[in-house]
Amino acid sequence: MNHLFLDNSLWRNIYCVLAGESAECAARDYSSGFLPGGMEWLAFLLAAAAIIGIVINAVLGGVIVLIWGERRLFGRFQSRTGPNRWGPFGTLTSVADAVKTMFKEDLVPAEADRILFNLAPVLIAAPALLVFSVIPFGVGTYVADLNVGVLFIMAVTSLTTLAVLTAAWSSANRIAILSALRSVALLISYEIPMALALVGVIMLAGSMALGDIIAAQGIPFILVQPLGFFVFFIAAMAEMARAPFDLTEAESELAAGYLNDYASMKFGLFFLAEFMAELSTSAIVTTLFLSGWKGFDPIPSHFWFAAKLIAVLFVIIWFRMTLPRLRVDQVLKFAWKGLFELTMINIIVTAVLIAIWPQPTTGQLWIMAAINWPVAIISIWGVSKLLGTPAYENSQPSADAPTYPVASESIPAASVLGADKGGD
Amino acid sequence: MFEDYFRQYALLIIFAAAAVTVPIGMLTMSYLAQFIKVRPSRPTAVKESAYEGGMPPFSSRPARFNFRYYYYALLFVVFDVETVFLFPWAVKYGVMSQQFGFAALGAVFIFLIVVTVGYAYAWRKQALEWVTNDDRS
Amino acid sequence: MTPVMEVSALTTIAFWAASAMTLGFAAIVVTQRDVFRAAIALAGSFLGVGILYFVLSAEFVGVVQILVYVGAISVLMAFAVMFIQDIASGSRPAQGRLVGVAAAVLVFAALAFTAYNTEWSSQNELSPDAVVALTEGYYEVGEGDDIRVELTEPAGDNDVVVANGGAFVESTGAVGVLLVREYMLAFEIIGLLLVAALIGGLLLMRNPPSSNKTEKGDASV
Repeated sequence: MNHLFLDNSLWRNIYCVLAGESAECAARDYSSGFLPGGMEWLAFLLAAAAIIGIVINAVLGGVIVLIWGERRLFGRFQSRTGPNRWGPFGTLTSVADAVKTMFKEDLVPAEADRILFNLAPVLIAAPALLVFSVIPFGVGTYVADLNVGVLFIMAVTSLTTLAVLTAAWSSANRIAILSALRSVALLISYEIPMALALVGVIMLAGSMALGDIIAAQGIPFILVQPLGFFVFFIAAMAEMARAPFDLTEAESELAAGYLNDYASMKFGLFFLAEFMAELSTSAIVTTLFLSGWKGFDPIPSHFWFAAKLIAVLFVIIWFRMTLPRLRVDQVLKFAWKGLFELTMINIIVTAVLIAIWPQPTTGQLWIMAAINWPVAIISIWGVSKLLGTPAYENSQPSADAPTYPVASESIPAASVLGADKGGD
Repeated sequence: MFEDYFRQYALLIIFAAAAVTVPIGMLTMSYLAQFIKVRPSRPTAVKESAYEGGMPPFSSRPARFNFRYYYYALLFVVFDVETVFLFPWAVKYGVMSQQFGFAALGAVFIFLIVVTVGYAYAWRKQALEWVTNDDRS
Repeated sequence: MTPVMEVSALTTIAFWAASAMTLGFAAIVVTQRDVFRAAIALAGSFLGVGILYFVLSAEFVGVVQILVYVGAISVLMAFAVMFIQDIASGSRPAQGRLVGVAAAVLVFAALAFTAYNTEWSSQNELSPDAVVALTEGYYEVGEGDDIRVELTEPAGDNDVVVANGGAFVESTGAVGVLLVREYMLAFEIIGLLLVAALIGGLLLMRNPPSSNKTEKGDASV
């Protein structure tokens, strides 16, 4: 029924072609496998290697395409062309960037703790990649569909915090450490509302497995859980540390942030991890709130997933181009005083609604949506009234009061891959 | 079901191994490139100094940090544990409210109220804010 | 169902690997002079314990171990290390080694004694409605070593239907049901404990001594 492993059709096809007539493949008519009997474990390993290779390569390729697309979009948003030299429409620009990053001189600060300094890029890239192991890319196309899928994603992404601290501390650079402190404060503050926002989704689906959550979405949960989506999306933007939450690498204040002293491929891994996080966040939003790969029939599920993914990515990039950077006090206050309350309201309202309609049908989901939207709008309005604008921002600064100028430059780290230290 | 559980995690372990191997492989490729004279490696004292925006670095690790960061770490641990207790309840909440009605809601409602008291305390003590009144005075 | 891979062999390998990881990192924590490195190694040790939970098919506890210990407690520790002023000199060599060893042995003995003498509770002690919520949709079928989990009620003559022990049911839901039904009082006390921890922590950190005053330049960072 629910999480039978052999639902994973991608894995099963490869496995059955290799292993032939084993019990798992009885329902299918593979006459004989390539491997002799008794070699099922090898078939298991080969099938695993195959699908994991496919997923990892797809992610890395997706990052290359994403970097290109994001820079092209930046150009459009800023009324310029964007990268257009290498390949048609500049498609090879990010490939060239990747090659360039790999073959640049690797610098290690003399004072650095070399072991931790080399460990940090791996520590940040590996969890970013591991998140993709539970994401369903299409019907039966996933590596694993864990019962604790959602919590697994939260756990794996929380490892980033430690990697950031390691990177900054090992490079023995005061700017990097200050940036890491900011970054960690940001990451841990937004992790709470991010997790709490998903409680409503889990209550509705009755499971934390991503496959079950997709199956439970008679209508996309963005309609039923507007407040949850709002909070999750904002918190996820903050977890990615992108504009308007990019205060960890506010280049006017902190140079490049915690990865200040990294060069060459180690620097590249940090940016790889950042873009992988962007991809995985969009994939998670797609899966949890936009009904994942579901769609209507003639179009295959993978295309639905990709289309929704690209739409979410576009919105993320749009946000990044539109909004200026926030100050650290604004960011933290927003997380603890704004988003936290919104998630609490969301949990209680959703819990009461589910107590009335346990295990809702699609019709009941529509009723819930009709109730939840006004609740969402009213509570967002109320919280924004409550937080308000502090007086010191509107009034003229008096002589004794400290002033907090808003970070003025609105050009984000658009040329991220070109902007690594040392120049070309 | 039992075997499915372990097969999933076997796949996950292989994935984790790959996820660690891929970045290490990239670093190794980059490292090996310096032996075929593709990647330069000419370290100097200036290159190996900490980068502080171009100025000569004047100190290594700062000895003192703003203490307020620790508030957030503490709040985070407390509310992270709270979150963890809400997840298993949420998973079975639909089934439970079918069987026990509002009792399933009541238990967690009390829990949330108790935790909200702590939250209100932190709010009152201005632990949730970055700029407190002490700073403004 | 013919097993693709011998499950017991797989779990044995995983158990030993995870144990080696846990103990190896723990050894680094003990021997490492650099406190920050020790904190990172401690995170590795926590991760090993988390994998052990996965091996024991307690996936919820395993994930929580990673989320809370590796993701939160380790960060708190790394933070604490960074706030220690005199970090460069490393941790001081231990003063009373004998006392430390004695304390460690005592704690280990107490834990081992408790583990061996505890009657681990089974499904039978739970109230029927909790069992229903736990085992919804699952049946354990078979006898002796040949127990499997089916989704439908079995019809075979030799099959004995056993109330599912919870081992194969997703453990997350089991924890949820038990928290709200069986251990509700403990659940509420956990809430109180969290609040107590929060208030205590904030009280302790209130008004740091004046020598700890932040530098002017760091105030807005």
